[in-house]
Amino acid sequence: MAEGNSPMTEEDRHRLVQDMDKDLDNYLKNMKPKKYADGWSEDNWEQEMQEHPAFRTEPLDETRELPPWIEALQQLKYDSEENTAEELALNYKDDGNENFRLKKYHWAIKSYTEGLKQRCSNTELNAQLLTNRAAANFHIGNYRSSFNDTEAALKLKPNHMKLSERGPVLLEVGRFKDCVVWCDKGLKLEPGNQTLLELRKKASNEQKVAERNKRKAALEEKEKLKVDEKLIKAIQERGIKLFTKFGSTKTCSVETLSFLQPVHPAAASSKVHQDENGALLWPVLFLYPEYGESDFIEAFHEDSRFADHLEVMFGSSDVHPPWDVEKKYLPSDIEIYFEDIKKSTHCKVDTSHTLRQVLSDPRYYVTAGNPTFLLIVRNSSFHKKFIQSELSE
Amino acid sequence: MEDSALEELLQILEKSESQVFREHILKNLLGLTGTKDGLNCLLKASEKCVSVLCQLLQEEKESLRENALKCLINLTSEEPFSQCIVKVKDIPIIDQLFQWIIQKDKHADLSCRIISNITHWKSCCEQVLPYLQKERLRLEHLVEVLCDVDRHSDYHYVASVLCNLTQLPVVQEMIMDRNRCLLQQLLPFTTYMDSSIRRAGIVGVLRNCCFDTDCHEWLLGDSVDILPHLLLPLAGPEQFPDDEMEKLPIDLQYLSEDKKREPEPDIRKMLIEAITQLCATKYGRTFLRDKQTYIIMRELHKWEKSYPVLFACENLVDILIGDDPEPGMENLKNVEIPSDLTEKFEKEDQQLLSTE
Repeated sequence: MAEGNSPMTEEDRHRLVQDMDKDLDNYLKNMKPKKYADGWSEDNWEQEMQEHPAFRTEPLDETRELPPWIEALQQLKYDSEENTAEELALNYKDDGNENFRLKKYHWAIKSYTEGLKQRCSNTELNAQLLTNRAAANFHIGNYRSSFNDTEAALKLKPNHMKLSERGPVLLEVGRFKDCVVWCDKGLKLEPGNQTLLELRKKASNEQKVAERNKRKAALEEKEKLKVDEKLIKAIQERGIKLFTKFGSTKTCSVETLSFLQPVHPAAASSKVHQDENGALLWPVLFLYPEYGESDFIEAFHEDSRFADHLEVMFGSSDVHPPWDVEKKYLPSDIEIYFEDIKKSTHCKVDTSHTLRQVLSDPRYYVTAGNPTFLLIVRNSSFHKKFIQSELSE
Repeated sequence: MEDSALEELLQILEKSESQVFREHILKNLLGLTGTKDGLNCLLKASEKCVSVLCQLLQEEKESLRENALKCLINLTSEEPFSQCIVKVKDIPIIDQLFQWIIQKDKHADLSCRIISNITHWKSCCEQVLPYLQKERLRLEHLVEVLCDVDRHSDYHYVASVLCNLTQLPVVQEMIMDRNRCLLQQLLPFTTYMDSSIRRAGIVGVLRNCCFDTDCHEWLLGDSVDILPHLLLPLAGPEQFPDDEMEKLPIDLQYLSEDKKREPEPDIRKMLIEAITQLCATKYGRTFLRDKQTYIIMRELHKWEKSYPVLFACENLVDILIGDDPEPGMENLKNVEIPSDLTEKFEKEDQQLLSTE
């Protein structure tokens, strides 16, 4: 750049140096004091060391993002331009094994999966990847995945016996018979293997229990059907009819049996059933409309009379239900009604009648699984109102 | 047939160049071996006959080999012929038959039947033993072949072979190897309804093993759990009250209402005999009582029609419901019975069985 110009004199040079010094001073003077941030300080050197691939002492944390240095190195290792599919798969397998060794099973699974994704042509390697992933999956309780991996590995190598997790995993997923067969296969190669002997014992026992439970359930189901059939027959014989929630009336049959399941929560577990003599025991609801109260009789024997129940419930002159403030609910004064659904009126029940007689009344329909009756005190003001409303309908 | 004619026949079979001729003669020979008279007639030339047939097994031609095998099956149903075949020197015939079985050759089933016939005779059984021990895993392979039921051949006679061989204590020991699960693999076949040959063979193996009193604890324990496999074929559809049901072995709980018993009286008898063997020790008797063996026998007894089975059943029940013997006599097999009593009991047994 100096070429073509007149050469610099000594004086010029001196001036230039002075100017430059001044510039530098000015620059420094104007520069804000700034701390060097990228260096390792006393506070962060430990963390920096840990993030540096050369100094790291701790294993990598599965849940956190990778430190940049390590990520860069990994990219080198896993670059598909630098490596063949098989090399990559092998790299991933080594990583997986390392993570497995350190009990980082989630990472190990990820590595093996990456390895498998390379779809390399080495069957042996793929079988190993699957086998190892099965093991990792097993350790974190992913039995279904573990099982699938062992299946896949076996498909690649039918006589592959290094699948040490296959046996336990078969037990875990409930394939007891396969587990026994697997153990027998293993024992052929390694007679006396205590793990296999124990596992076989366990699996064959589990299988027995499972089969027993299946038989028991089948028998119970059959038994229940028999009970149901008997119940249906008994209800039909008595001419008792059902009123379904869809508003239609039905005779009792297998199809309508579900309508006998009581809707009232208190009665849910007291569905109509038979005693040893074949007599029906009904869940019966007594309503006291005057007080908005109710009583629930779990098993009303069909041959007991309403009067008997009233005597037990209201017969004592000392004890009255807390809501019966006037103490007027006495057996002799109570009138009982049921609803004639077809006509939307109420029919009076003769309290000397049995439940069987009342339920067989052609006007009676069993609703919601539990026969329901209204109990009202004769000649009370509520009774009068009740009669009046009945008449006006 | 004249001796000389028989001699001539065998010579042609051995040496003739004409395949057609040989085949024709072999067919005739097969017919001969199928009858009692024929067998008696061949007896005079038993050694030669067996030797010629063994040579025919080396022939290329399929039909020759097959008919020779069939002849051998018929022949070995008689002890003298079986003794001849184990003595054949120039051809390793027993070895060859075992190989065919283990390799699941198309002659496997016929080979099984020959070995089964030969080992039926105790004198020959011991002669076959060295061939079983020749390869360390031969017995294991036999079990494997037998258990692999998906194959086209049926291999049911392997069960008979195992049954015959386990008459020998040394084979019992082999099949009860604690480090392998050979016996355990056989257990499910006590209820294998497709073949009574297989069932009879397997139950026979189990019964033979039960004769070894020292193994009873292992057999009854959960490594093997033999009892349910012996009881299940004897159990019917009867339902028991829950408290009795819960005490039964798991495999016998809540059986379906169409459960069928073992249809063959002989197999039922073997099963009961095996269980009776297990009663020899105090441990066994206590175990069997705890597992409600009695109620299964009680129901079987109500149903049973066959006299020998009823008899076996009563013997077992006597032990199960009887008082336990005095100290020192707990092992029933070690109890010395005076010879006059033995005689008396045997006579009584005979009488009972003949009154059928």
